[in-house]
Parts: sequence; structure tokens; C-alpha cells
Amino acid sequence: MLFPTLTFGLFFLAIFAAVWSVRSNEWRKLLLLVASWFFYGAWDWRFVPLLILSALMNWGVARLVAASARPRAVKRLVIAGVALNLAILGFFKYFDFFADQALSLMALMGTHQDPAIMHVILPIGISFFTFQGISYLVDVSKGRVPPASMLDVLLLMSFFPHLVAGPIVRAADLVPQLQSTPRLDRGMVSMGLLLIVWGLFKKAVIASELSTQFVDPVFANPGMHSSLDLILGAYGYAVQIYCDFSAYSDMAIGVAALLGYRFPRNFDRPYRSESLQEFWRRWHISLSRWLRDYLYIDALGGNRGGEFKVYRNLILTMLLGGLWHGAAWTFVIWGGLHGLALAVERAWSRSSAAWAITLPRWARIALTFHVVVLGWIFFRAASFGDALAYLGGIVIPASDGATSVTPLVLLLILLGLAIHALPRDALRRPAMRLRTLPVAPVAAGLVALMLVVDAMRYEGVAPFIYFRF
Amino acid sequence: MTDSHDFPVDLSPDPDGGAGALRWTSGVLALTTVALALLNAGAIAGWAEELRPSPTTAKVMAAADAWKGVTARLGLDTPHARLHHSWKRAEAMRWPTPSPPDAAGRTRSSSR
Repeated sequence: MLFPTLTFGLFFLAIFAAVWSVRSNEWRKLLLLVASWFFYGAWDWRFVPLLILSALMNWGVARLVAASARPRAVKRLVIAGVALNLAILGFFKYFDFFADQALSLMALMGTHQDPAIMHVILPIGISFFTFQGISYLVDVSKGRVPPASMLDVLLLMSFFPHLVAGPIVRAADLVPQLQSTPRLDRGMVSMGLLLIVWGLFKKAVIASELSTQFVDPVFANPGMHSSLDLILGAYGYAVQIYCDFSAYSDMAIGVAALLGYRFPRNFDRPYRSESLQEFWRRWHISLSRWLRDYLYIDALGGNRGGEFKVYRNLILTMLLGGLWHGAAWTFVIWGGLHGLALAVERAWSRSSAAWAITLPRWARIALTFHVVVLGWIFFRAASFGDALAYLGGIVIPASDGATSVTPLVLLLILLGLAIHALPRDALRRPAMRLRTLPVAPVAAGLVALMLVVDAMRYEGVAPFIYFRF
Repeated sequence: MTDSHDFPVDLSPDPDGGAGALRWTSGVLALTTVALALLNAGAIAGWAEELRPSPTTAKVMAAADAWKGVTARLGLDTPHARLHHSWKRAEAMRWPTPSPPDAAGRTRSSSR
């Protein structure tokens, strides 16, 4: 059930009517929980029990942690809980990958085995709800949040707006909201509606058009395209993935707002970053904060232990962040590239050369953007070999200089980059105005915007890129 | 920029304290839904076509097609159709390509 579809629209209208017609907060949460399981089951009913079991396991272990007075027992429980979470994630996400690697290794050593008979189906959103469960468990163990009720933990992990592609909403942000009866105000609703329409535009118009008309054909067959096409294809993918993923986050934040809940910002114009460090404060903010707080600081020790350990921790965090996206060497290389670039950036900022050579702001933005685009080539390519062929095609093109990019595609690439020049809260002022208007003009404005978006959208709706993570 | 958590839907509180916000929101959603059903009935018919075939969905499809026909007869689908046509024209635009030289050896630019 994709956000930009009529099926989801009808589902949402039914949930909106049901949720706001119930007075009891407990009943409201129960309704939302059942609706969330229905939403998840629309993809594959077989994995709804997995979602429930994962939430119950985290709730149970967190209760034991909170009840335990001995620090060693707490530590053991947390390790066991995190290991269970990772075991579930590891089995569903990485079993096939490691089985394939093992078979390849055995083949190299001359032992030929039949290919693995079992192919594990990846439950949608498993990376997101597993990370959410781990963060709840660790936060309870460190006293950052008190243990929540079973219903609140089930809803925290299953709440449909963020369930399949984030943002990764932490217990400290959502549980207090679940514990009190939500209230609507016009400002929140206005902002939510604008975020939904803005997300629709970015996904259905920019991301879908770029993907189908240009980026997919270029990445599918880089050898048939000119150097210019390959460069524009990489820029196009940078815009596509931003518009696709940030659109999902915007719509999730907007949908939650209409139900009375606030989700944190997940994107903040990432391609205007002057450094990789800044990029990770603006891109998929909920994941980068998760990696920083639970992996880089809690698990690896963060900046403690000297410079070498800091560099090691940076690279390890990004490598594991890459692997979180999927079981493929391309993601490992993407993560490693970011880790290495962050380490180089840190070393450079601490060297004497940094004082002697200062790049202007535009050059720093351009340099950061191109490092990110280089990473996207590995992220998007089907294999490491394909990524190298793509990069090779940019340097030594196999085709003549003609381009297959159309004026509209080029305009959309430029538009996707230009929106990074907008102010951080560009929608705030229109939302403030919208909330003062009566029903009819607000509805008329929404209808006009949605008609324009629908007229421009590509036929059909492609799944969001981050659904497969 | 800051690294602090922020919530995009947090605006200053409504001047009236949010009184009537639920009625206002319900009104906006209801009116928008009805207007879109009138002005974009093609989307409903397209959605119905993609439903898994069954006797029930056959009835839904027939109703959606009938509704599309009614709104088309009233000309309500015209704004969407015009916008879509303009978008398709923009999609079909190509860069001007140099034409082969004519008899006098001159070249002209043309676009498809």
C-alpha cells in the first residue's frame, strides 16, 4: 500500500474518521495498532507475526532491564536483546548474501556445492523496525526513557506512517505523545497537508520521471551512453534518490500530523552541505543520529581513545551503515567511501594545510556534492563491476558525444538541485497563512495542487527506493 | 545549521487554541475528496482497473467507469486532461538537431 495511491487514500480516510471518533486514548491506540498491522499485512501477511514478536521481545527485555538492579545483569540482558534483534535482521537480510559468499569461497577452493535451496524473502521495513527496537532497549537500559506499556511499544514499532521506510522515530519522541490524548491544531494540519502535497510532487513527478525517462536506462546500459549522459545520469540519480526518500519522509510526517502526532525532520537540503560531516547531519537524519548515538558512541566508544580509534570508529560506523542498506558489496563500498571521506576530512581539518588552503564556500559544496555523487554510483549500480563500468564510461566513453537527456529531464535535475536553495522552513509561511483560511479555499487550493501533480505524474507508481532496505 | 531534533509540523499555537480544528480538518479532507472525485474520475477508474479481478471488483470497475463517463459528459475532466496533455508535450520535447545541408550547402536547426 503505497502512500501516493488511491488505496492508501481510502485507507487513510477510514483511519482518520475512526481514530478521531473515539474518545478513549487507549482505544485510539488500539485502532492505530490494528490499522498498522493491516497496512503492513497488505504487503505480506506472513510477516505481521514477526513484527509483533519483535516488538514483544523488545518490550519484555526492556521490562526485565528496568526491573534489574545489578549493572552486570542489565548489561547481559541488553547484549542478549540487541543480539536477538540483530539475529532476526541478519537472518532475513543477510542469509542469502553470506550463503552466496560461502559458496563462492568453496568454489574457489575447489569444493563445488549445490546453490542454496532456501531463498529468504526480505520482510519490508525490517531494518527500520529492528533499529527502532534496539534504540528503545538501549534507551531504557541507560535511563534515557522509562519502560513503556506493551501497547505503546507495539505501536511505537508498528505505527504505519513510519513503519516501512522511517523516519526512525525514537521512544523519547513518540512514547510521550502516545501517552497523552492527541489534539489537532490548524497549524499542524496545514503543515501536514503541505508536506503531503510537496512529497507527492517530489515522488510522483520528479523522482518517477527521472527514474523512468533517464536514470534507469543509463544505469542499465552505461556502455551505450555518452560521457555526458553518464555524468547527467549520476546527477539525476542524486536528485531522484533525494526526491524519492525525502518525499516518503515528508508524507509520513504529514500523515502522522493529521492523526495528531509529530515526527522529527528527516532531511534538510543535504546537497548544500559544505562537508561530508554536514551532509550526514542533513541526509536521513534519523538514521545518521541512530548510527552516531548507538553505534559510534555507545558501541564503539566515539571520540574516546585517541585519534586512531576515532578514524577506525568513523570508517566502521559508515561501513556498517552501508551494510544496513543491504547485503551487497556495492553498499559496503558506498559506506566505506563515506567513512574514508569523513576520516580524510577530519584529518585535513586538523592539519596545518587546512589553515593555509581555504576553499570558497561554493567549492566546498561542489566538492562534497561530487563525493556524494561518486558514492551514489556504487549505491545505484547492480554490482561492483557495473559501477566500475559506469565510472570507466565517464572517463573513456564507448558512445559518441550525443546525449539522450531531454529538456524536461534536465529541467527536473536542475529543479531537484535548486530546491536546496530554498529556506529551511519554506513551507512554514504558507502553512501559517493556510490555517487562517476557511475550509473552502483551503480545499480548493489542495485540489488545484493535487490535480497539477496528478496530471504530471508518470503512469503508475514505482515503489519507494528505501522500501527494499 | 543545528543538530537539534526538530519537528517540521511544530508551528506557533493556533490563536484560538485549536478550537474547531478537527471540524476544520474534516471539512478540508471531505471537500477535497469530493472535488477530486469530480475533477479526476479517471484516477478512480484507473485504480479500479488494477484491483484483483473478482465479481465485487467487476462491480467497482463498472461503477468507476460509469462515474468517469458522467464527469466527462459534464466536462469536469477537462482541466486535468489539458494539464496532462501539456505535460506530455513537454515530455516529448527534444533538443534542436542540425538538419542535413540543403542543396546550397546551408544547415538549419530543427526540433522534433
